[in-house]
Amino acid sequence: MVRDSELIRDFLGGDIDGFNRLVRRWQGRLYNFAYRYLMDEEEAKEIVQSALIKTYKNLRKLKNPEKFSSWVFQITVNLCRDRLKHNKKNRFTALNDDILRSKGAKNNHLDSMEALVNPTKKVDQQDLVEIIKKTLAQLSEEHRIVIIMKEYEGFKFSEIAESLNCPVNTVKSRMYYGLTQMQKILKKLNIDKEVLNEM
Amino acid sequence: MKCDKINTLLLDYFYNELDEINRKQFERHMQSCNDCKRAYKELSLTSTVLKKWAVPDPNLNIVFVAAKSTLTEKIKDALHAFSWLKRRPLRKIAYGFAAVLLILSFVNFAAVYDNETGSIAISTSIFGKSSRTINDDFLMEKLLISQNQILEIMQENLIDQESRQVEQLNRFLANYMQNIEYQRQQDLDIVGSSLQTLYDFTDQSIEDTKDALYKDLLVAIRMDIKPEGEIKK
Repeated sequence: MVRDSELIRDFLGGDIDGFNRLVRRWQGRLYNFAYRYLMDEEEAKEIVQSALIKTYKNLRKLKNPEKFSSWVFQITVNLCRDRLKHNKKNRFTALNDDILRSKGAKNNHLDSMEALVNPTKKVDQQDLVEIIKKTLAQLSEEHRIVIIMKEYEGFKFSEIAESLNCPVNTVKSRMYYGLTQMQKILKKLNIDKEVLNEM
Repeated sequence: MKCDKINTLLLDYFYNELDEINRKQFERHMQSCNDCKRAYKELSLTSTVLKKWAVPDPNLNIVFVAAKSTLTEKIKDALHAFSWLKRRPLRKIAYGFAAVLLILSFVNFAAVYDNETGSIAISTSIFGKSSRTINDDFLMEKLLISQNQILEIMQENLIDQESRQVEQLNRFLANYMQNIEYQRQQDLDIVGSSLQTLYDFTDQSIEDTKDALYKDLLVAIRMDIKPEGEIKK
């Protein structure tokens, strides 16, 4: 497979197709990341578009083309963060309107998830996805972002550190803390190996 | 108390980021560490759960198209190649030199001519009077003159540099315009010759058609062929 750095070199040499090949290679991953982070299809699409335009405009400034993946994710992460800041209401508490209306959002959040895990009913794939979304939404931004980049995008800790512009050990502690929080919630909901096997 | 390797080595181990030696070392540690064993199990369960969330394909098809650049943009691009002119490193050096001279102007110079040894001693001090006073006005005057000369040279250098840059830019623009004009002439030539060819070709076609019709008419007259049907008047 042609390396990203070669495609970048082609593009900087005036070959637009080099950039389009980069786009085809990365647009899916960027979308998946943005979607899992923002949990909104349209916003994720907009972010990918903006990120790629920004990449197109600034690719000349990238000093080390070997670090393209961390760099393009850094752009996407920043755009997602800006979007979250821009959104007046917190998208993650809006996942369930009932939660927004009620007091003590955290407990009710868990209640709404417990409703998905009904002892008389088997947990199906769709329920589990809802639980994952809501569990991730319970975490703070910095913990969620690290988990998404590691678990779904398969980045190394050092690459995540580069994208987020923070030390590797900070990334690891955030990862550990975030996962521990998730484990606690999953435990409360009795999501264990058996539940997964039964699916 | 929890094992301190959990949030460092265990994560690296779980996500396969340890080298061979450290991996084996950690595996040995895990055999005897219940904290790490338990944490590993929990970690793998959470990871398995997370993996169940698959994002549907959004069918994105973003394509970038190279924009056709206008003449202004082309000129801008070409000028971009001359951006080093804007930076003017020589000017920076000149400013630096001027700054040094300015600082030196705060320094009190003192020059003393020793009659006995026949040598001139120069001493300096900043923001204060020198321990020796300058008696030789002529030497002072010389110093001032040489300073002025240096400043003049620098000024000339700057002007010269600037005019050279302008000249270079003008030359480039003239070349560029010449190229465009040449290109335009060539295009006009091509269009002209194409028109001529088309004209010749059309002329020839009309002649050929006339000839063919004339021949057909002759044959028809000789063979006494009359047109079918009536000709409406």
